[in-house]
Formats: sequence, structure tokens, C-alpha cells
Amino acid sequence: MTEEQHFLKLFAHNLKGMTGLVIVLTFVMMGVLAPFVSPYSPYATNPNAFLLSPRPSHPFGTNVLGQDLLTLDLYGAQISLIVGLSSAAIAVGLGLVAGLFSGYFGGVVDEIIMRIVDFFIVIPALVFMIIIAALLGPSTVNVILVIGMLSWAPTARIIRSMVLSIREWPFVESARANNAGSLYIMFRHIFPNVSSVLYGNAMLAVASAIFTQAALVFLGVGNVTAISWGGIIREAYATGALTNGDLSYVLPPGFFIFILIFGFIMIGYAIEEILNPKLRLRRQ
Amino acid sequence: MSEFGNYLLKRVAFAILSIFIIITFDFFLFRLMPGNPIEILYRNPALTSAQIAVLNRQFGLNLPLYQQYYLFIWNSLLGNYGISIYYRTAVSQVLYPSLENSLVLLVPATTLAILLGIMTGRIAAWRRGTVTDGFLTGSSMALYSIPTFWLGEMLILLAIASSSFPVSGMYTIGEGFSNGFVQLFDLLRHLVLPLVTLTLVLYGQFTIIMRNSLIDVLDEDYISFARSKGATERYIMRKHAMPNAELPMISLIAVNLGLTVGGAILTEVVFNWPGIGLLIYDSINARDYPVLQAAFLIVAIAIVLANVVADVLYSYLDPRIRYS
Amino acid sequence: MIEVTDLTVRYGPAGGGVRALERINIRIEEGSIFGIVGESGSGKSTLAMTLMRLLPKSGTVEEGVIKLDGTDILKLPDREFRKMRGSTLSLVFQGAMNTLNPLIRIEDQVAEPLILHGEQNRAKAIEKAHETLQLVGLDSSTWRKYPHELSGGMKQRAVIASAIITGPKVLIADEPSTALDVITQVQIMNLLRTLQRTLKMTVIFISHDFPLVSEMSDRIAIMYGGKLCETGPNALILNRPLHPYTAGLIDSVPAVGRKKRISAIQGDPVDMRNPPSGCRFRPRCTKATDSCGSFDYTVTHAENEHDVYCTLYGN
Repeated sequence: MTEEQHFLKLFAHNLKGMTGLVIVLTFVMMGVLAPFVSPYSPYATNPNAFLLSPRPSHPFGTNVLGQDLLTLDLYGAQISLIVGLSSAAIAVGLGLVAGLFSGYFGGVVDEIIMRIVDFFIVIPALVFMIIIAALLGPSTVNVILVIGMLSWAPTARIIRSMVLSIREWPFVESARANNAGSLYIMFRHIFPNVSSVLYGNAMLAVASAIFTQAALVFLGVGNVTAISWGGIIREAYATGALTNGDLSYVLPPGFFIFILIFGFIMIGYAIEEILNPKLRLRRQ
Repeated sequence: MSEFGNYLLKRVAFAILSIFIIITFDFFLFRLMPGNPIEILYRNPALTSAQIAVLNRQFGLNLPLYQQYYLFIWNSLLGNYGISIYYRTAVSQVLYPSLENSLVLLVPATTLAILLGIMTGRIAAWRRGTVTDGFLTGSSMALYSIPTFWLGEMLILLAIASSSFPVSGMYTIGEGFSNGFVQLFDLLRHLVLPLVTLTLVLYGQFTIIMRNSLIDVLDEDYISFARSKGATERYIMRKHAMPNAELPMISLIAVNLGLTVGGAILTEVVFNWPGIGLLIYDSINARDYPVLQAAFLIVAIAIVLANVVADVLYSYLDPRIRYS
Repeated sequence: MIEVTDLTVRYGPAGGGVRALERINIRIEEGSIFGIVGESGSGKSTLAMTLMRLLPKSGTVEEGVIKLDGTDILKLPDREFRKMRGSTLSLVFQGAMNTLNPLIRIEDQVAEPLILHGEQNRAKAIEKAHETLQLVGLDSSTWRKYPHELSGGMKQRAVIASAIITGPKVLIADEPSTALDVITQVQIMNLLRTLQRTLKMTVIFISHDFPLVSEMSDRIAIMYGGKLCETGPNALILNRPLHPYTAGLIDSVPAVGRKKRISAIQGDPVDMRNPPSGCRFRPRCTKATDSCGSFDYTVTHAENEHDVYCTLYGN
């Protein structure tokens, strides 16, 4: 059995991991199928049916513009997944490269990269993002870029600490003795050995990006025009639906964000648990 | 001892460098953005000509960029943040009260979350692999996953339905307090919901951090050795395991302060708590860039300084650093 | 005197899992040094942990009796036995580098067993700790230090000090010098021997290092795959090994100044999850015969309490 197969087998037997996977896949389906299963068009407004309470024709009611809330909640999965996955890809990619360089070259390169990492870990990312996103103006791409560029530091730190030990392994030594280039060694020999940790980390990055996107939209920065769960919650808050006790308006979008984040965190934690035997549950 | 001194020196130097970088970011961010918002705003007709004259003198808005940059660093360190467009007073007069209000919420929430996190993390680690552990770890992850602002809104719904606690602001508006005690009581009632919200969202992560840290420690040889000396499990936990597991918590708490502040901002906005988070939110809507610029600066610097404090504390508590 | 009878220890669930020890019989005379040799997985550390009743949660004693001066210590209630742990029976740990708590001063860690066993007066306990530290060769400059400030050998001396401070009857030393360099190793061994004599302790010395064990011990036991191969007086086993595994161990030891080809034992260590039938050493044994496959570990008593578990003998 190869290492990947062994990992997959352990993952398949991990309750947390499988729960997370089912959750995430459900939301992916929801996002993909939204155009086909939604009862209304997400953009269709109806001035005669605004702020309706839940009823058979509108199970979650309607918003101020008379848009069907169930439809909006289904469509909301799209932007959360797109922003979550793309920002995490940027963050993890940057973190991987920074971590590899830092750990592999050591010395001054390491010192400089790690101080930058320290800086990015310490600064209040959300404040930073609010300001940049507010200044850049509303656009989904901007939000993705801002979240991605400000979230790579934790990944870099973890990858670096792994590279530090892998660097000393015999196969890296021998590759170096054979005059293999640094980049070649980094990506060909070291990368495969850090990739599994990277996946675990990526899941946590997705979770935090989904949260950040929703938070930014809630605060009114980022792309407030796109259909998103954070946006629906903001709307409910701003139009007084919340203080009216309009549960079907506020509850579903937040609950979806919560469950989706929870799913990614469970997957990430399961991967970590499989890789770190100390955390593995002991069934004895 | 000189090693130790060196270590501290290095951390302080890094903090100074960080603050310098933050100031630099802050300066260029607001000046190189499309439309140069700062310069436009300082020519804002809402300000009196006397105010604009003061700003020009203080920030040298007619001077070349590098001189403005130099003046900006100097002003930042002196606490001159310019004039708020919206409030039309010195930024510091808006900023400092907000900062205080934020601390009223942030300090008890973080403290509570840490103490509760240590308690439950300890139980989870102690019973690792059991149903108890599964429940505690699972619910911690759930709490960690809940969007702060949504949790706040759910609590608001509950509070309105049960008309139990005020859901907005720090004091009852228009209330003349007969004495300090009544005022304090009113504050505490307003504090309940934001405090619960922020504590809950922070609490989950501290539980998980504590649990994993403790599980690592419980596998160490010195734990088995203590057992072989005839120590009870309770004694081992208290005397050997907890101190070693709590130590890394100090730096983790400091490092996570950025996230904590993020949670605080969202909580303040939801509950209209007049802290720095609400100030940032309002400033964005009012395009009050001088306030925004200063708020970012002050929050970032506060976190850097908190990290220095954590570093010093950590190195003092850990003999491996203190006597290296 | 310690008498171990038919001791069997299992890791994992009943009916499955791994038998780390199976039907072990050992007698250890009071005031002697008893050596236990075996490679990793032989069960020697499990034996030590069973003697201390510190098996991990997955470990169960399936059967057997461990008598210390006539009382079966496996039958004692937990509370009762905990009073003996660290006072009557002490353990010097394997992997000594992390045996000391990094946050506690040496003197406090050495004094800890006294306090755990009822000493109310901390000053008194510390004073005794200083005496004991001196006894193991650590002078006053080290007393108030933290573990990371000490060398490996010094740390192991401190560990020994905290094991002997209560004046235990029995000291179990599990690979006490393995992580140390050769010179420090010799010093630690000499220290243990001196302490054994002056304090009149029974020492159970466990190591994978055959020459080291045989140099230290009065009697030794050789273990393989959770089973005993051979027990007997040290000199006898060294000069006339009966079990092929013992003979192999002796042949694989290089000796300085002696021109002799060293030969390693062929084959892989036993897979404890799936042990061979009969004699565990059979797949690697050069003298194996068909009857070894059904060997039931019947003991053969050779002369002078020299016992061997092998089909080559008996009948």
C-alpha cells in the first residue's frame, strides 16, 4: 500500500474527516445546482412581495426587494466557495514558496522571511483587510487578493519548520551531492514530503477565508452587490428584520456559513490528526 | 544571562522595526490609493481654513512625498493624527475614548475565554479518546466556526424575544444616572451580550490549543517519571503537565491577538458598542480616512506591544530561555 | 527477593492484540544485580513497567504473580501500591534526556519523591536532596540549576539521585546509559554499582547491550520476542551459553585486542503481531529443527540454576 492509499484509508475511517467531507460536498452541490433547483431567479425583484414572512411559495420569505430568500441562500454557496478556495489557494501557494525558501536556504534568507512572517502573523489582519478592501472598492477579485495576500504567514511558518528537518534527510543530501539545482530539490524532493501537511493547512485557510469574506461583506466592504450569505445577514441587520425577530431571514445564511466553515475545519483537523500520531484518538 | 539579554533585545528591535513598517504601510496605503484620498480630504470644504492651515503645517501637504513621510512618522510617534473629517476634532479625541471602551469589552472577554479554554482543554486532554473529549473538541470546533456577527445576531434575537438584556450601545440613551453604582449596573447589563458573544467565539480556539498542547506534554518522559516516583495523576496534572502546557499558551495568545481584535470589531458593530471597531466601521462609511488611518495604526501598534510583553513574560517564565 | 511467576502481559484487546510478555519466570535475590538483555521488542521494558505497575492503558496482565518479599504486588490496591512506587521500588528511566521537567530546579525534582511519600518539611527534603546529589557526584553548583543547564551525564545522575533518595529496596534501571557517550556511560555504570553496594539495593538492570549487562550483573536473563531464552549466573552464561540466541549475541560482540571474526545474527527481529509458532527465535536460528515449530517453552534446568528454553536440551 502506498503512503497515499494508507492516508486515504485512515481518512476514510476518521469520523471527523468524513463528516467534514460530506458537509463540504453538500455545499459544493448546492452551489453548482443552485441555478437548476432554485424556485426563482436570484435577481428577480418583486415590489409587491417585499419582506414577506415564510410561506409555501417563499419558504424563507423575501427581502426588501422582494427577492426570494431561499434562492439567495442557495446561490450564496457559490461566492463563499469561490472566495474561500481561491484565497486559500493564493495564501497556501505563497506560504509554501516562502516556507520552502526560508527553510531550505536558511541563514539571512530565513531570517528575513521569518521576520516578515512574524509581522504578518501579528498584525490585525481583519482591520488591514477592511481598510484595503474599502480603499480598493468593491470587487470579488479584490477581496480574494486581499484575503490571500494577508493569510499566507501561518502556512509559511509550518512549512519552514518541516523543511528544516527534511533538508537533513539523506535523499536531499545525495541530491545535492549530485549537483541538483536548489529549485529542483525543493519542489521535486522536499515538496512531496510537506504536501500532506499543506493539505491540512489549506483546509483551515479555506475556512478562515470563508469567514473573512462574510465578515467583510457584513461590514459593508468587499463586493456587497454579489449574492452572498454575509450580504443577506447585513441586509437583515440593516433593514430591521433582525430586530423584528425575522428568524428565517437571519438564521439560514449564518447557519450555512457556520456549517461550511465547520466542514472545512473538520477535514483539516482530521488530516492533522492522521499525520500527528500524538493527537490521534487512541481506541483501546 | 547575556544570551537572555540578547534575546530580549532582539525581540524589542523587531517590535520597533514592525512599528516602523506599520507606520510606513499606513502612510503609503492612504496616499498611493486611487485618487489619493488623504490629500483630497485635507482640502475638504467641511474643514475651516484655520484647521487646514494647521494640517498643512503639521503634515506638510505641499512638501514632496518623502518629506511628508518623514513628518508622518514623527507625528505618529507624537500622537498627532490630524483632524477627523466627520467629527471635525482632533483624531485623538475620538480615538482614545473608543480604545478605552474596546478594552472594557476585550479584556474580560479574552480573560474569560482563556480561563474557560484552559479548563475544558484540560478535561478534554485528560480524557482524550473518550466521548467527553469528542464532545468538548467537537463543540470547540463548532464555536470556532460560528461567524461572530451571526452569533451576536442570534443572541440579539433571543434577548429581544425574552426582553432580558439591552442589545445596543454601552449605556441606556438619555438616562440620567443618579449615582455611579447605577451607571455601572447599566454598563454591566449592556456588556452581557457582547461579552458572551466574544467570549464564546474565542473560547473554542483556546480549548483546542490547550488540549493539543497538553496532549503533547502528557506524552513526555518526565510525566512517566513523576508517575514512577509515586505521584498521583492529580498531582502530575497540577505540578508537571499544566505548567508545561500553559507556557506555549502565552505566545499563542499573543500571536492570536490579531484574530481576537477581528472578533472584537465584529462584536462591536453588531452590538453598537462604541469601541474602536465601531469607530473603524463608521469611519469607512463616513470616508473619515484620518480616523481610519489612526485607528489602524493604534490597533496594530497595540498588538505589537502586547507581543513584546508576551515575549518578555514567556522568557521570564521559561528557565530554558531565562538561563540560556 | 523478587519472584516473577508465569507473567503474561498483553497490549490491545482481549483475544487480539500483542503478547509482549509470555510466561516469564524470574527469581531475583535480594541485594544482587540482575541483568535483562534483549533487543527492542523483546519485552524487557514491558517487564520493567509491569514491575512498577506503570503499563500504559492498553497493557493488561493476563496472568502471573510478582512477589516482592512474599507479597503479590499485582494484587495490591492502587492506593497501596502507589505508596511503594518511588519509595520501595524506584525506576531510572530510558531516554534520560527528557526525564526531568524543564521548568523545575534539580534539587526540587530530586526531593520530590520524599515529599510525595509524606515528608512535610520542605527544607528537610531539600537538605536530603543535597546529600543525595552529592552522593551521585553532583556538587552544590548544580543543585539550583534547571535541567537544560546540565550535561547528559549530569542529568542522568540527577535522575538516579531522585530514584534513590527514598532508599528503595529495588532499583530498576531501564537503559540508564543508552543516550550517553561511552565515557559517561562507564561513569554512570560505576556509580550504579557503587550505590548498589553501599545502599544494599536490589538492582534490575535492563539493556540491549550484552557486554554492559554481563559486566554489571550477578545473574542475567536473555529475552527474545516476549519470551525468556535463558537465565543463569552471569559467568556461566558468558562462558557456556546454551541458547543459540545467546551464543549469537556473544559472537556478535567485537572485543578489543581479540582477533575474532564477529558474526551478526541473520534475519529480522520477530514481528510481534504475527509471531512464529513454537520457538520465537526459530526463523533466525541456525540450529533449528522441525521440533522447534511445536516447542512449548518447557524449561530445562542445567547445573547451578542455569535455565534454558530450547529444544536442544532436555529429554
